[in-house]
Amino acid sequence: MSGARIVDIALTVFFLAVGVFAITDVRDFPFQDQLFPFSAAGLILICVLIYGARQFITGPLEIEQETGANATKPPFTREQIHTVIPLAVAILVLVVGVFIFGHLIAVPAFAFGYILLRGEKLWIAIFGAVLLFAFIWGLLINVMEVLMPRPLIMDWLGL
Amino acid sequence: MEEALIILNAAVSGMFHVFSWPVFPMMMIGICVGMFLGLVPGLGGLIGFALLIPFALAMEPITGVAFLLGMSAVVTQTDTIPAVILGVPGTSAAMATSLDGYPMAKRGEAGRALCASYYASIFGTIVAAGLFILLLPILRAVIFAFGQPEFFMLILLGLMLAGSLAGNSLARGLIMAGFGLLLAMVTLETSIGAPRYAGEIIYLWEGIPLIPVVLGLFAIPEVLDLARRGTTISATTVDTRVSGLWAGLVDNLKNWWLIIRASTLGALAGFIPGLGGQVAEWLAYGTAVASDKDPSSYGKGNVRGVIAPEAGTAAQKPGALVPTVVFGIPGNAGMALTLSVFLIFGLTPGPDMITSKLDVTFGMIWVIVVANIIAAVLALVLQRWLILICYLRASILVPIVLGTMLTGATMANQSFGDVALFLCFGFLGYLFKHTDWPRVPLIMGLIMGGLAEKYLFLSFDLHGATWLWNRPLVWVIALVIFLSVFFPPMLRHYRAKRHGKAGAPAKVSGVKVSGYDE
Repeated sequence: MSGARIVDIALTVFFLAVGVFAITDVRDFPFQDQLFPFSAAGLILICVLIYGARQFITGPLEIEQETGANATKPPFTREQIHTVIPLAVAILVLVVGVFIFGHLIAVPAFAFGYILLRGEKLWIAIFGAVLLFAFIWGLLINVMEVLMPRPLIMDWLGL
Repeated sequence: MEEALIILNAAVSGMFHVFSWPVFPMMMIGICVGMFLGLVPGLGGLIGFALLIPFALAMEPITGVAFLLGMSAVVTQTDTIPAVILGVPGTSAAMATSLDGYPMAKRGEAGRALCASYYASIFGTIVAAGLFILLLPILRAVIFAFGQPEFFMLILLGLMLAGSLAGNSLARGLIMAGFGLLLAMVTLETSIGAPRYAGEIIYLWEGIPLIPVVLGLFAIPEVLDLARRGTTISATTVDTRVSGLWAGLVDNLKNWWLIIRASTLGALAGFIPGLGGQVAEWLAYGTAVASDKDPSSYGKGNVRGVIAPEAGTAAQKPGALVPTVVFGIPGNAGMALTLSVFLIFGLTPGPDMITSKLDVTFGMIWVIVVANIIAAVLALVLQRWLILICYLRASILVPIVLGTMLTGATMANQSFGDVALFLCFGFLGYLFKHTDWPRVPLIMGLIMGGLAEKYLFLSFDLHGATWLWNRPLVWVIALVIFLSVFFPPMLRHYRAKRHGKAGAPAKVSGVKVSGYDE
């Protein structure tokens, strides 16, 4: 069974669980508050059952992959998963960095590190970091007065 | 006569809105962003919407809408540049254009192909705007026959169509639409004071915010794949001189009837939820091939093969705007996001938008037309430099786009919950993208879920259950849902059974390209 097929089945089971949860979670609500959630969950459950039954009876539905000059290979083979993992880790590092240090430090630092690690010149990495710092500090925080979430490090340092 | 004067007056007022301060400069910024997004293969209008919406919400309603529409109107114009010069479409909506544009470029007619495409985009939007003006009296008459039950049914129709037309499986599309509706219901139910699907997570009590979900679902998969490819386009030496300005115009004028047909088809494709730019361009391309005496010349550099898809794609934008503002049914995911902005701004779709606020509606149509004209001029003047953007390496682009996206995702609520949501939906979006589960119905469900529930609640409140059988228009819309969503697969199944073959799912277009259709 291909990786794509396993993910497809997992998603079908996930939606089945979502449909069941959606119905059970609102069963104590008044009728008018139940009506719409029941309808949407009912739609999901009916379609999941039809989809699952069809997969079981007539075989798996074709998963159409990208074509064209700009296409990317599906990430479900062992070889392709290896191309996804470092990027997923990079995104995770960025997110954790944002939680701990906040956007203003983590985002430019991430850009600097990523560009440098990918083999670009130092001045390009500095330019990328400065661009993002200017965007967040200059445009968002100062011009648009956007309140950024408080980073965890502030609490840890007691600031 | 009085009706015509009202429409004319609103059309003129709408044009004044476009050129007023600060609408015009903000629209220009939107145009520049849109031109950039169109040039970089892998990005597109939907990422643009998700990135710009937090900024747009900080503006006055008309300014914010012009900012967003200016961006989305021109993405499909600059995507032609890499499609023609390098044979790599900037977005999925430029696939057909590259079929004939690239061969033209290879024989030294890149300037003519690009100029023809720019003029075709301008004429396409103008024809679509003209169609809107022609249809306006009919729309104004029809809209007053609609009450809450009919609006609920229309939303249902929009969601069902989006679910059935996006992707190659009706069941998958409807499951995603249903999932989107359920996500829209995550909130603190104020009538009974209990959370619905939100549990004890206080962050979710105000509902699931749209921006982190959209950015996660659409932008993370594209950025991940862009990073995996490592490069947007491999560097090649190309001729970027601008020539053929007049030849392109003459080509358009000679093919005026083709432009009208292609634009009408494009506007129609925009009007029907779930179709979008890719279908608009293939329909238009198909009509060009079918109506030509020499169909074999297509794919080898026939200028009509550039004009028709560009006119069709450009006309699709105003076409998609009309059902969004009039009936509250977005024609595509981009319009669904625009609808969400309307709702935040207090612009409720419905009769008001073609009566008391007709000038605002016209303003939006003119923004699309004017943005196309400005983008064409900018593209002609700056073409030589714009092409360099296509060569931006993924190693530079990815961290900048990712950082901007993560910051944009947090702007709506200024909460780390947004970041977590962005990550969760990014993971789901990547799985959905590569297993062919359509993401557009999910977003449309999330945006339209609140409206749909409100209309359903009011329908039962005002009419009891009688609206289900007492109102002829409800039945008409139900019949349209059956005929357009459920009847075609039933017919296919019946035919397949008759011919003893397994029924293959129908595809709206025979091509699935990388990126997504906005």
